Amino acid sequence: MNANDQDMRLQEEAERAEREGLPTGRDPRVDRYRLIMRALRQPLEPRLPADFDSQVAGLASHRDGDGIEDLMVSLLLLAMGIGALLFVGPSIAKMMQAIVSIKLPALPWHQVVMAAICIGVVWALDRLLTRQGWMRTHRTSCQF
Amino acid sequence: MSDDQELVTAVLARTPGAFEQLIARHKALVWHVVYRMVKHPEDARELSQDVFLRVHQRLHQYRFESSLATWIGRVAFSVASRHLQKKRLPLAEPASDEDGDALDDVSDGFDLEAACADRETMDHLNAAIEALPPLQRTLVTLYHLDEMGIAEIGTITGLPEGTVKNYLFRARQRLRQRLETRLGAIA
Repeated sequence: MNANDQDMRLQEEAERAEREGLPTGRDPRVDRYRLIMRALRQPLEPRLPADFDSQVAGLASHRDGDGIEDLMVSLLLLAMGIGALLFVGPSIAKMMQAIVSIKLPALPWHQVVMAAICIGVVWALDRLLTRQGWMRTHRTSCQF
Repeated sequence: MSDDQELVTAVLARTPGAFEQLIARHKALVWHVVYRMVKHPEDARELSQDVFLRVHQRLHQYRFESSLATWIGRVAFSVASRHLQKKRLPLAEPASDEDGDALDDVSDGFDLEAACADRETMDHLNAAIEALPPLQRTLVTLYHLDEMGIAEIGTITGLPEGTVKNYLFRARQRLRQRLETRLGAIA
């Protein structure tokens, strides 16, 4: 029997002796584990404050109230948003017309598209190689 | 209807005093889990509060598949674990398969009752319990103080039963080694 098996048996014996309230002094090794089990059964210090229950219950019901308050605030903000849109709507329409009428300079669109494709291919390759662990092994081999 | 069901129904129906009753019934368990995990009393108080607020918020998700205590214990364990993760504190130390040192075949008359009454020995043991890794500290408390079964503890912590048993065994073994150091010192 190795040390762990022996310890396991002693722990089980100690647990049974404590549960059944057997007399002490029969085996000091079992008694040591019984002492440990008694220490583990001692109530924890410090404890929660005496008014913890009422305090947390109060907070929880306050949060329930907060739900209704949140709804009211959301409705108020929505109403204010609609009002603001109605008020500044004509000005925004004029601004939009002005923006649309701006003519963009002619861009070399084929070059922009090519650059976007290159970036996309590099990004996709990086993702693929990283997922396959190639980058990690490659980086590790470079470091050593 | 079981006690749990009655209480949950009352809380969900916003019955006055019902949630306070739920807290009173389960606060010891929550405190044991959270305080044993984080060890810091102020943090533990705040986190215990968070646990109950989360329970209040998510009680409608409780499906009575386990006891209410187990479900609340899981919430507590998850809140405390996340706190440790945020602080980058390890939950447990790596498991070891090594044999512990054998118990001396002591022939000296170890007096259990006298040792229990000896304040210094008990303080030494309490300090040894505090020095265990958070997960082991929590497991021994749930098992010995809250008298929970291995399966229930497994559900709370998400650990397989064999792992729970192994952690319990190792924790008690380590406490025994610390106790022997103390007994050796006073011999």
